[in-house]
Amino acid sequence: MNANDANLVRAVRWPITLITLGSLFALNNFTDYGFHQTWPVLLIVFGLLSLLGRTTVRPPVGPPPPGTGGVR
Amino acid sequence: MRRRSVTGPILLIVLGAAFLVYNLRPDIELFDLLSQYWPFLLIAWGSLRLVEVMVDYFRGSLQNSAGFTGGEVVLIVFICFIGWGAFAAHREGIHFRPAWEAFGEHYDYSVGDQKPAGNATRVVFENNRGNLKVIGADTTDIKVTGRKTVQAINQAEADRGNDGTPLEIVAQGDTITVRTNQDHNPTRGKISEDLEITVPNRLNVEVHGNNGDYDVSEMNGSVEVQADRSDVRLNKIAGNARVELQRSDLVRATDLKGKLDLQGKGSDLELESIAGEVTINGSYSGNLEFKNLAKPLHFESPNTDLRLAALPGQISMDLGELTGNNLVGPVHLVTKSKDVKIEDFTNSLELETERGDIELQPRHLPLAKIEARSHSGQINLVLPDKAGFQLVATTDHGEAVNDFGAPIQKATDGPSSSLKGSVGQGAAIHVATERGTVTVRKAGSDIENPEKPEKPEQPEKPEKPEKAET
Repeated sequence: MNANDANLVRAVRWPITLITLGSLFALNNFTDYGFHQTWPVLLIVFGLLSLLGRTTVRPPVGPPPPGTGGVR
Repeated sequence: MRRRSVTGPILLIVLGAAFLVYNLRPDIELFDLLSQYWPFLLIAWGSLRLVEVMVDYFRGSLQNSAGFTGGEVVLIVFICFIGWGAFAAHREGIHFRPAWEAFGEHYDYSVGDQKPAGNATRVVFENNRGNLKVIGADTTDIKVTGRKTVQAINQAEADRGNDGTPLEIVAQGDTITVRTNQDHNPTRGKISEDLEITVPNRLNVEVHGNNGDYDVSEMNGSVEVQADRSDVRLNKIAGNARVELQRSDLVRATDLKGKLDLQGKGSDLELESIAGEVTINGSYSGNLEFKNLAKPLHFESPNTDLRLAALPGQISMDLGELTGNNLVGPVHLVTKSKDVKIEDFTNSLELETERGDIELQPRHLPLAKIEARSHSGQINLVLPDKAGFQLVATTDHGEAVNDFGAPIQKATDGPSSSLKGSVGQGAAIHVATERGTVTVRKAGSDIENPEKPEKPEQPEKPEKPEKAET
């Protein structure tokens, strides 16, 4: 709920995307689920992380103006 | 100040370890493993960064700009592409070896062994790479002679490769296995063995391999061949034969007394004098020749389905054409795009081609029942003079030509035409094309090959993409 949290979410976004990417390729190589089928998971993961970033981020000073709560 | 990531040093350590393994344990196929397990590198990398981020966070020293650099993103994309390609190649059976291993000299060794077959009923050959020639004889021993080629950078390395891959003849229960042990090669060089083997002809033969030509002849037992990429020649086999190949340039079977079962992909196929039933399931892109098959033939490929009761004559087939002579029916042929020409067949003929001309010339009396259809292509029907038949020949867009004479009447209706007529009591002959000329003429008449009229335009309907396989 502070700026540090926001930084954390932003910082883990890429590593988590990378892990997801690796997992999807591993699935592709060792199971029947091909990357051509599973790639939308990447979008979902990236979208979820963005959403998470939005809920934690607050402008560092002052209350947000009404109606623009989620803007980074 | 931004703390530098530990990824770089760790990458160096992993790289060093990989090369160390590669140098010390050549039997581990590192590149092959890498082509499968590379996604875990990405996972490890991501996890590493995640741990870094967490550590920074709990120390309270998390930087604002802890994302990936452009260089890292490029590297990740690069790894994904290379890894994807490497895995695709791995799945196709291409095993990676670094380029510098393609060099080196070839060293030859002669190999050989002999052992009594005892009471065994089955002999199994396991030779990964190299040609095998198996000959049945009236003998009690299994005798192997041949040559081993070892690829290595020097003689000592080649000797090590040779010593690590001894030829073995092992008896176990009712099975004798002749094994070349190429997969136990302690060096990285390629090994291949060309062997000539004499075996008691009463045995059943089984051949397993990856790459090589297999030649089996004069056996009284059955023969089974399973290989990734090889040409197979079978000659004078009394038992049943079964051949399963991933790829081949040529499969030839001659003088088989038993059944033949053929599966897989390949190019040319030659079958001659086979007394048993023949079943073929696969796709072949070259020339196919069938001659003198005494029992039913069933050929099934993505583009063609052919069944007949026996083949005293012959059939040749390639991607665009099928010609047959002297077929015993009922004949059933469905094909996508082939010109079909069949002379002399009995019982009945059922024929359908999507694109291609049809020429039928039954000689056998009484005439066989004929049901032939082409979606686009001309139809030529040559009927014997004295035959009895009930003919209906139609074309939806095209001309109907009657060279037979009186009993056949021509009718035209807009773009479509038809020929109808009957002579005595005889078989029903129905031929139809959607686009093209229909011609009926008498056998022995002089107009043997009338000038072919221009083919009508192909219909505008979208066509399915077709595999270039028969």
